Amino acid sequence: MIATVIVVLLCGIGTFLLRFLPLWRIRNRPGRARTAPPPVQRFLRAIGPAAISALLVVSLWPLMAAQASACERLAVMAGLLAIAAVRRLSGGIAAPTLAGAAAYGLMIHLCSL
Amino acid sequence: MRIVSRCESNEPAHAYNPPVTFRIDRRFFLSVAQGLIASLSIAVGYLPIAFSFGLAALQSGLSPAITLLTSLVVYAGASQFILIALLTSGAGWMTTLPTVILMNARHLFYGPALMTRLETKVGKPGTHGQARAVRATPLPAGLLAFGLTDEVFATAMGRLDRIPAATREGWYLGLQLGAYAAWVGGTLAGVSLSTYFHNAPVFIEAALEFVLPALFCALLLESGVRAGAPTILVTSIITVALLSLLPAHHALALGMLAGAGLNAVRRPA
Repeated sequence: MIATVIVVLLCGIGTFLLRFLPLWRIRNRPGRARTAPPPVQRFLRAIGPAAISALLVVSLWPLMAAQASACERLAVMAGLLAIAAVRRLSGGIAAPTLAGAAAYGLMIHLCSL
Repeated sequence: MRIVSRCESNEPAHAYNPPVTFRIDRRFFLSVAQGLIASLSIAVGYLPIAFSFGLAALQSGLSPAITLLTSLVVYAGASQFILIALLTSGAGWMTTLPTVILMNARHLFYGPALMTRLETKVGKPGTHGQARAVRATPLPAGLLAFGLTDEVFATAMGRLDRIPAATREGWYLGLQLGAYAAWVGGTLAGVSLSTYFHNAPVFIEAALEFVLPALFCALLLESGVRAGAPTILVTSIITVALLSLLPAHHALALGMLAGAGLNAVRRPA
């Protein structure tokens, strides 16, 4: 029990340090990110969209994998289309997210009938 | 409460550089509340995953206390599922710790990228064209870093530019707090309600399964697809190619680095 607690705590500390150390280093030198060489600035500017794209691909992958049926793939398309449509109509993040989830859920329900 | 933040710049000492005061006042709490509201889209995705984590950990033989402790201190989605698999298979810390650290290594890049959005320029430009001073964020680095998960980072990067500079720290703090509460709350619900949990209808299960991809898609649209098209395209192609060769967390990290790396080496238009 104690050994498990120690392993969990070590994993928590390790994960925290991965998030903390680079941020702490930059924070202690304000403007450092902005005065970095242009390639580094461009890298830091692009890491956000790159991370979101990679997360989207990785999260969609199991839903679109080889074992998914055509109907399930169609459900993914319906979900993505619903997100784009609701975002165009209402903007924001929450409403398109929920609309996409609802459209996907509905399509999967129809696939299972 | 007042915190006078430190400013640094290349300006000479006599250049106009007013002290900047960060106040924990009504406006700060209002921005925290706005961040909490913004965290709802993350919370909707976190609750079912954290709930599943609670159920899976108990079914694997971990105690409720250890399960909750894992969500409280590790707070890193997929690596927590790997962690319980390793713990229950009897793997020691020498196997478990490097595995979890490697899975979360991509988080190394989030802090510096986030700081480019949280730092704000202050004062006036110098008369000889010197740059304005840059104000560091006054909140402790530990507080900014603890909740820096994939989803919090993605949401912050997609939306911070639209938040007034003076309220960004509060907004980001609220975003983190909401996401963390959803993660811990979802785990607690999974641990407490495991015996009462019955299979949800297909519609609900499927909808919950799609919440995180939907959130990432909405965030991608929010961040501007046209402006970042080359980065998005390269990242997506490389990630898809790597997914058939590597575990998802490695494909994610390498795809992300390749997409951002391309932006670093290509000439600005």
